[in-house]
Amino acid sequence: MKSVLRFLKDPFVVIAMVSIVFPFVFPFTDLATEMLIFGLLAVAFNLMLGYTGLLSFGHAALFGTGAYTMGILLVRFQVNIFLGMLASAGMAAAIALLIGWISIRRHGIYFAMLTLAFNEVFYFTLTQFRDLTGGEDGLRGIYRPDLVAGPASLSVQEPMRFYFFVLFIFLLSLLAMRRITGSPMGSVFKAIRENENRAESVGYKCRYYKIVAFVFSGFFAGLAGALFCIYIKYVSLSFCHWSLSGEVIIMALLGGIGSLYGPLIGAALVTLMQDILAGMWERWLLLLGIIFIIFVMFFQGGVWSGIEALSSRLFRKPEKKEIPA
Amino acid sequence: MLQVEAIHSYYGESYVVQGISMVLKEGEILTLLGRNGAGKTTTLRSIVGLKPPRRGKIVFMGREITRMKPFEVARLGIAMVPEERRIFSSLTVEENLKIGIQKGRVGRWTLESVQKLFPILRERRHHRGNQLSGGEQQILAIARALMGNPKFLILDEPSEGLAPLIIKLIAETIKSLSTEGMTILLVEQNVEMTLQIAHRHYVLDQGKIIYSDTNEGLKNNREIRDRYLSV
Repeated sequence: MKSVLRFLKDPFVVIAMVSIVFPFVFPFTDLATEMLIFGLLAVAFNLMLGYTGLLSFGHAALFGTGAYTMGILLVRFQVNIFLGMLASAGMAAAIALLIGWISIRRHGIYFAMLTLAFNEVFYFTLTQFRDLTGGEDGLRGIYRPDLVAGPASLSVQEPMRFYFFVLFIFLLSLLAMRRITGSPMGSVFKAIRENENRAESVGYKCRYYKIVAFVFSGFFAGLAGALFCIYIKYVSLSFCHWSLSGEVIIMALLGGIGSLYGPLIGAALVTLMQDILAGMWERWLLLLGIIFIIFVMFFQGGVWSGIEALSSRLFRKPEKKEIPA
Repeated sequence: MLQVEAIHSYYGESYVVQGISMVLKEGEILTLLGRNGAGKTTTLRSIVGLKPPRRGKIVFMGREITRMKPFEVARLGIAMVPEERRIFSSLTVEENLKIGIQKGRVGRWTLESVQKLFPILRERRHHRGNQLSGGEQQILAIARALMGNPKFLILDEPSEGLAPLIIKLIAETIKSLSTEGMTILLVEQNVEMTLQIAHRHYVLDQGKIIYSDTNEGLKNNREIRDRYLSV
């Protein structure tokens, strides 16, 4: 019994269980799929903001890179779905390397502005390459391929099946990111966030680690983009628009940037609100803005820290007294 | 081991270190004493590359390190324990220690041996840095530096704000590290503590070294102690 309890204390297990049950109690399967995809994007983004202390305004470009790569590979080469996703994530990681290589030379707000500038450059470059990207018309003719591995193949046209395919990729990615943040490298990321000079004097070349964080983040953001491409079967320039970068920041902050999983909650909430409120009221962004302001002002840990506080009450263990020196 | 030749360092326009030179021999404990603002911490920051001097030269084990980056200096085997025990408060005790490991620098100090020296770090290994008391944080900061198996340890005011019992433990640790061959540069306000463990002293005032002597010499020189070091 006790070991079961401990098992349940692992947030990853809880998230996996909830997301397996979720589509059976939640009537809108497509919306649930969207929540997972943006959850993945927000967690990837938070590898930078929450773990390494780097605020990127360029994640739309990375998400868009993933989506366009997947779309182009499908339209032109009818690529295998797994290969296509890997290529998309790899491409986004390469773009992240490029943006990171240059932007990381600056700190704080200048870094954020450089990533924003890159996002814009990227956006307008895509509008120019009409042959490849379809320009303002977007990329058409994308289909959702079957899962093909060797002789076996499985159709994921049906929403529920597709949800579980996305969930599978999502959980694998989450495990990978958990591994990264829990590794010694993850400690260095956190050390850099806390104090870059100190990390440098302990013996770490911070520039290198920050670029690595950027590349990892880009990889998973690109993967999210690729999933979104085969989910919606269309790629448009709006995927790369800087406003999506802003939305991701809101998701992460709303959910809580202090943990790996917080941004998931934020992404789920924003996606849900977007869907429900946008149908009811045209100016729903106003409401999102107000909620965002309230959270930043009064609940800086986000939703996640509230959940953590609650669960530590449930699983309370005797605390050790501090010994003052 | 370490030669500092006439370094000059500035903070913006203010001229903080005005031509300081010093020599450290292997296994020696040397202190930099002096009032607040005398330039002690800036001298340390210049040595480890956080505040490279505008003029002058710093040589460590025959290699010039004057313009090296902090991480390069750290990898050569110079470890600094910054003032106010700057540990990483969001990492656990164990993560703080592991982050101190330097690739390619193996030696007597490992997670086990550091925890053996300071059992409290073992007891509290899963606590976060910010859950430790001041004394524990100082111990952790020293232990983190040791994890890199440095040849040269720099401590910036390790006794600041700590209880006498912890100061004693830290002083004993410094002393025994030096008998094992570690070279130590110590910045302190607590002159009494340094008189118990150091071999030589430099006294700084307004960015210059105004006095240097052996431990015995400083012990007997009331005038210097009253003029520059009394609180």
